[in-house]
Amino acid sequence: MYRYDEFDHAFVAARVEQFKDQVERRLSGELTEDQFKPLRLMNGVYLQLHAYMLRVAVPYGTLSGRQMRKLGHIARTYDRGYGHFTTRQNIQYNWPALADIPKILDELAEVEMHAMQTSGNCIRNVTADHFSGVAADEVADPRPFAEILRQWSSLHPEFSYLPRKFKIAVTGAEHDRAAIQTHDIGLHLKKNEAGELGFAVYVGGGQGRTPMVAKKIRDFLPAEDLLSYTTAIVRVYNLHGRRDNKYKARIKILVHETGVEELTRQIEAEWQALKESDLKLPQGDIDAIMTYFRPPVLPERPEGWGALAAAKKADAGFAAWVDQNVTPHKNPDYGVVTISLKPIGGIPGDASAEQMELVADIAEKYSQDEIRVSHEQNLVLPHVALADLHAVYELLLADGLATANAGLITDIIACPGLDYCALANARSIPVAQRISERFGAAERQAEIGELKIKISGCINACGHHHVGHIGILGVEKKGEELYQITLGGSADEITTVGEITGRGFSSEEVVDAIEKIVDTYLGLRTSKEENFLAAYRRVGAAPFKEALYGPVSRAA
Amino acid sequence: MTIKVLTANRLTDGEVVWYGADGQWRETIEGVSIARDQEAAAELEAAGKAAMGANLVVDANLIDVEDRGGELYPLRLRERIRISGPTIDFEPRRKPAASAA
Amino acid sequence: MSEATEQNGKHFPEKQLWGREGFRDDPYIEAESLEVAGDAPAVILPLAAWLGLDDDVRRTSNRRIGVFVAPGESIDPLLDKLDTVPLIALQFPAFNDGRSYSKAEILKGRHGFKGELRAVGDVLVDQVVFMLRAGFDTLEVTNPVALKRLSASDLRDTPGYYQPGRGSAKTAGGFSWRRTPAA
Repeated sequence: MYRYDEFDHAFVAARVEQFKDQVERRLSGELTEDQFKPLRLMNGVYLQLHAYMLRVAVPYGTLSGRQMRKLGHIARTYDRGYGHFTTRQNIQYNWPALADIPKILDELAEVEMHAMQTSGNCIRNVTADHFSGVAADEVADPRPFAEILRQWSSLHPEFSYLPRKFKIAVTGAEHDRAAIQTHDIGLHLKKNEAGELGFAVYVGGGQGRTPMVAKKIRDFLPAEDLLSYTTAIVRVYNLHGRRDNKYKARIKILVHETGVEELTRQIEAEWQALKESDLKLPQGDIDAIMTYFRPPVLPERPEGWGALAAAKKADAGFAAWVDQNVTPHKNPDYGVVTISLKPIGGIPGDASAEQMELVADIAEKYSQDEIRVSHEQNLVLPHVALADLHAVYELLLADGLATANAGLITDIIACPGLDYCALANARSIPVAQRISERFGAAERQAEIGELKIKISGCINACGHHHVGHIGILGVEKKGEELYQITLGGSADEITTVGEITGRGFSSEEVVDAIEKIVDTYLGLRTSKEENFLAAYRRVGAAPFKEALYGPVSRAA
Repeated sequence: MTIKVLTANRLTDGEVVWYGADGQWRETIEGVSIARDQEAAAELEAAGKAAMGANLVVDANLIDVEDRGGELYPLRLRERIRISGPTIDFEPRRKPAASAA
Repeated sequence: MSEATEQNGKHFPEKQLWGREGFRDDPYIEAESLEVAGDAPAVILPLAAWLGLDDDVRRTSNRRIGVFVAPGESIDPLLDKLDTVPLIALQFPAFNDGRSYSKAEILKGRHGFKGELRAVGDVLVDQVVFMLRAGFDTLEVTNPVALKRLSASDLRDTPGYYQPGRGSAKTAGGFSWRRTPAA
């Protein structure tokens, strides 16, 4: 993991002092809310329905046990005993008092964390594949580059007042778990024929009101050019992105309106002028950052193979959990554990202080002191020896963290929705809970197989509904919540935006509607191997629409 | 008819508050100051602006409510949720302490 | 320094010009054209008016003729004339309109503009450091808090930067993108 050096410590400490001063001036009345708002937003402080909300950055979703323990401590001391892990690999606290936030930032700084650039029209927390560094299918760990981008984008003098927020995601595997094509910039780390590292560069993805899949503008950018090329992209966007309408201000609209060829030409021209500048990365610096992310030396644990098989035979619940939540590690003696934050009927992404502390303990003891936050709102223990899986499972089980549903229909992404969010039009969490309960039986979930449901409570799409295999968007109509359903979305290497089925459903109807869709899929799939998305791509929307609205002639 | 009340979030901790008939900001909607005509609504609006100016509260807004047999019922779900708090069981159940009998 | 002047019973903050060395006198006046500028020795013209001047007039004039550029206007037509521009004023109509930062980078960083680069408009204390690092030499300030803090040399800077930029220095052994404030 990256560790702060003196430079980083001094930088974060200075920012905390700055914000402390700003909060004091706000509380004393020296600053008005209008003056304070942009300042608090630069430090991740929002005002929501019931309270302030503080969003803490978890760079590329990587945490140590000590950091996770601190997050739990903050939840217990300054909040109501829990926190919410987000689709941007961050954590949000729902109830902090403004007066306490400087103290929280002090506590975070102790463990090399902060809340900078978790809001505002700047370059946000850089996200990465949550299986970085351990996935068997990975070419190289993308996190060193995410860290370089994190540093370079921190309080960037040129790019702190962009037309709108700007999100960068990095992956190092062909199978994209970081949803890079839904980001303003998506980077796919790969090797060329000479074995050198570089990036395929995608630009202009995004969700929100106008969902767009990013366009590839470069097939191979040498790693040394990462900062100069990113600067060129963001500069062209800063100069030419729309500022007249906040819904048209993201780079996706600039790509769309300018045309990808012309925009690429502008970016390349800008880059030619920057390529040989101070932004060129010396190999020595890349290597130095990579050193921080060197894979841990994992002791050989071949006894795990037999032990795992025996434990699976003896414990059906454990076997189901291993099959669903443990994925292959580069080292065959080890596995990558997904800790589901989606208990049946629970709140997606929420974790209590106790749970955070438990995960911290387990990570220290069994996972080389490493934890990841996934954009699917789960936690990951990246390096668990197969021989330790059963012990880890038992510990997780005792605190409600062993739900065996990673990637299944109850592993639902949901934004906070109208239960918390000042922007929301409808609730998301209760819908997720009811779907989870409806389909919660283990056999039923297993029968349905891989199915990603994503729910947003407004068109800003924090719940990624556009790219859910089944997406649900809550809107408000005549004072009532209404839910629109989209089908066929996906955020992996073949990213697609889901299609709206038709008229929306009331809160009472929506779970039945989801069930009809699922039953339709079960009835038409060629075999269990054809998952929902594959089946949808084969047959299209028609059978699902008919199931929802009746035969076409009547629906028309 | 719909009537209006004034609500905001308290500056220091963001807590939801309502403007009381006694001119104080209170944490429950009971005893809130009710505007039944435009003139009273304008007075409430002015009170909200003044409280924001005095840095007591932020985001002060007049909201529409109905008097349902003495109970004030906001027309928008958003405002009902601001009264009730999140509609979900959000606070984690705590494991009983080891010493608890 | 007075922070405001009384006019019609309202406080109108006084415009002050500030640079790294502190407040300074501003010889320039803003005018729509040379004709209406009287005999002021230094004038800032809108971009269109400036571009409308004959090259010879600019070169041979005994007055300094600077140019004002709004964020929506392109600086491209200025790029081959930079040696004849004594001052470019880039506008910030609101503090959160960041286009002029990129223009400052292009003018100072890429094209080595030697004249005075000035930030005008909504210049607040929280952005001063960004402006200096993007390449601005002077800031036209009216905001009372900004005036107060600048008078006290209280810029709220960070002890280090994660990007190359003007007014900063590379330190030995640090990552290539890092800088510390120049002494």
